[in-house]
Amino acid sequence: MTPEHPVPQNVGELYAEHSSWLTGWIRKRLGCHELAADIAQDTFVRLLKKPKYFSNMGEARAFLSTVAKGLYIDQWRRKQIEQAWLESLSHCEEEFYPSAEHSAAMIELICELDMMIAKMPKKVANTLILSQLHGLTYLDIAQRLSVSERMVKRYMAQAMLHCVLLKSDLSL
Amino acid sequence: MTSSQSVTYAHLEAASEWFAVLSDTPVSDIDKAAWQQWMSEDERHRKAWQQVESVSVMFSSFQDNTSQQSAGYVLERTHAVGRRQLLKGALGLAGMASLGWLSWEKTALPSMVAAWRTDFHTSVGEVSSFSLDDGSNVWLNTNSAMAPYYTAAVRHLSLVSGETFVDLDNQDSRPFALSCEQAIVRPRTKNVRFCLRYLPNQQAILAVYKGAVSVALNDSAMKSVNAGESVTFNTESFGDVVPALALYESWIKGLLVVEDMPLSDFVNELNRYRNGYINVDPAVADWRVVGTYPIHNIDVIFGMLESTFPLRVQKTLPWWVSVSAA
Repeated sequence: MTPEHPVPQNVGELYAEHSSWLTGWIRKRLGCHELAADIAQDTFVRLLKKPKYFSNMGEARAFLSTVAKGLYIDQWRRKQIEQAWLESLSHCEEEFYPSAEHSAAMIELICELDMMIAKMPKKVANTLILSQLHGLTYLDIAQRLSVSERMVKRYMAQAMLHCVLLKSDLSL
Repeated sequence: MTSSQSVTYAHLEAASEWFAVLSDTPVSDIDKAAWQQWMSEDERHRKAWQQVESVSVMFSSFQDNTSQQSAGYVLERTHAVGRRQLLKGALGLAGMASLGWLSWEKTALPSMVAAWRTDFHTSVGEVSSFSLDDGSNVWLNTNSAMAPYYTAAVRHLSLVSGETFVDLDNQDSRPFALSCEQAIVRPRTKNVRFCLRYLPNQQAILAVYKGAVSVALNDSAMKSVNAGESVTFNTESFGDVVPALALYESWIKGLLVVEDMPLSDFVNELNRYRNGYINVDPAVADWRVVGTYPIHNIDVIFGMLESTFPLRVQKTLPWWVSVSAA
């Protein structure tokens, strides 16, 4: 890596310079050329939306690989969610079976919720899910998680604060 | 006003704590009042609460209970796996362990205690009809109670709370009376159909749809009310006799029929059928509602309102709904 290497500042140049390297880098990890090309593409789209300037090639590649990694983890997670959703439908009686359109909307919404709770401590996330999606009372949740009701209430506040901070950009 | 000031971490923290207080039903009246107090104190409190609402609404935007619980399933499962493990999976370093569904049960609905069947009761949201041994029928609207006292000599009903509709077949020779806290209602014709309902502020309203009845107030004032008429009263005096609204009859068929009713009144009417609180933005409170609405499907009613008016109905918490201009 030569520090004197001229660093391209626009995305077009970055793309020309790094796209085949990035695709290769992802493919080595995922083993699928098509998926790797898609993710590389998405990585540059991110960069187009939020331009960034790099002082050298190493910095550019570090950034690109980090974004790409985030994207393929998201994709992987999305696949897990889709699969889990389909499995949950197998518990469903025929008359309640949702349409494909409804399923797609559901998966979208679940992915959004998943992103929100991803970094919460496990008990905090579970509390939020049990209360808001399963409709359990705090007493039920307390028994389920073997904590006090007061703790459940504190988890709820913590969970909500986590979510609003994520949405509000106040989080640092 | 303080509207130019922005919401801080502390405001969001307080709003989140309120969310935790209000999310466990039933919410006590004291907590509701304290929360409303907090909301009214500062523009930034309301802004912070809006942000909490915008998150909370994501959890309640599922089409039905099954979808909502399925989503819960999926999230519990994927969150149990955790991001780091997923990363390993994504990198092909470790196979995904096959996880069974986490055990869960459905919410145990509070079971109604219906031991004492001598009295007629309805819970919130319920409309029921009861047959009497003289061939008459009475209906009880949401959250109402009535004590029947039928003997060999008399037919006496007493409205304890809420609202009743009586369709009286007066072939029976025993005298009939329906009492409430303020008055006693007696039929003046063979067949009568009428509604009696408690109103706020120690008042009641009587609406007659067939025949004629007399109303004797506890303080002995009397009035005759004929088909098509209605009158409000307290223990001492009567209000003006006005045309009977369709509303006081339509509920026995599960319908709310309203003609030119302010939105805020309409929402109060809806709120009788559910546990919870509906907040109406003052900017839309005076809009006039007309139409026929199905009592037993409040979501459908909200949908009808949204398609008639430029309104937005947001279900934030199980008991909290806000209605505002779109």
